[in-house]
Amino acid sequence: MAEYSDEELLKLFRNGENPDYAFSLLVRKHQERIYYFVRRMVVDHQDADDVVQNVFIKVWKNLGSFREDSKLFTWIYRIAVNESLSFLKGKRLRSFLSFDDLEAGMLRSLNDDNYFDGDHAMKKLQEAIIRLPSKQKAVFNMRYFDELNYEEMSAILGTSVGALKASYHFAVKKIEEYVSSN
Amino acid sequence: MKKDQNPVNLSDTDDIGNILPAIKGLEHFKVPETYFDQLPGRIHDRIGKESMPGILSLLKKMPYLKPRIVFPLAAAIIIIGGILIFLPRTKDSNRDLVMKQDSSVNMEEYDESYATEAQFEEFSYAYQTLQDSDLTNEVISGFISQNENSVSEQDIAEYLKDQDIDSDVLAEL
Repeated sequence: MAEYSDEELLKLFRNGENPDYAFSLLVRKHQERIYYFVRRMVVDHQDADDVVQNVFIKVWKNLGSFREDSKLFTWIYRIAVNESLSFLKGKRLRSFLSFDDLEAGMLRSLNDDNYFDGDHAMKKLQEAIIRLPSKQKAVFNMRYFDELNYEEMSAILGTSVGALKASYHFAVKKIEEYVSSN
Repeated sequence: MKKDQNPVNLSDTDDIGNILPAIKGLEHFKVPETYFDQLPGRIHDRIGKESMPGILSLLKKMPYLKPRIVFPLAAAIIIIGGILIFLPRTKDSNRDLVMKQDSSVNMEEYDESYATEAQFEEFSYAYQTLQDSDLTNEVISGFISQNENSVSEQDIAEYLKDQDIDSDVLAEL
């Protein structure tokens, strides 16, 4: 079956007799990329699963009123970034209230995770990423793993290209320092 | 002008490829088998649950259903419902009340007296509608035979006498 473009899926959703089907195709098309972005942000699979479901539920609720100021995937990706940052913020607050440390909890998740098969080097890189501030982590993951260009990242995050370049640069320096010293 | 001793390189080529050359592009986070096959269905299920209309979302969708209308309406429905539920029970409720007032009377005794009272009302109505000419031997015998266990001939004679029944009819008894 030929894959629909985002524009075709949007048209199918809005004008078709079966928006459920169009939405299902949309989820299947983007779920993996969105999942892995979220997973790198929150580390734990169950958390990532919850966040991804929330992302697509928001997409469903707002797809009818999507104004097409940006590409559909950019819009979905922006929802995923915001949901991930909100999740981490909430988890940080809960960790603070329970006298736990968010980063320490995420490192435990990484080490106990049956669904992480990275080698020692990869684990060190993930440990370094976990230690980054949330938004810097998002910038690094978008640039390094998803290979988005700065213009796309700017559209998603609503931040200037210059600020994103600086943020990525500092993230790389912190990671280099952590990996070199460990 | 003093040159920045530690300039920040903001080129697009910034990466850590030299440090961790082998990992870029590989995905080390794994998911349970068939996770991505099931995810659209699970999302669909959650959408179905969340779009079930609750009371609040119903109120939001129908702005004319303001609390000042809904709450009095609900109160009226409850009151009318209450009346409809309790109204048919009035007769039984009286009975229950008698039972409660005289706890020494058991159910069998009460039913017996209740039956006697009903029977008495039936007889009274029959006697009131009787004409003298109706009181033939057959009718009277019928009454006697129906109630011979509880009413004697003497009782009936006395009753007819009290009711100023024709003496000719009395003489025939």
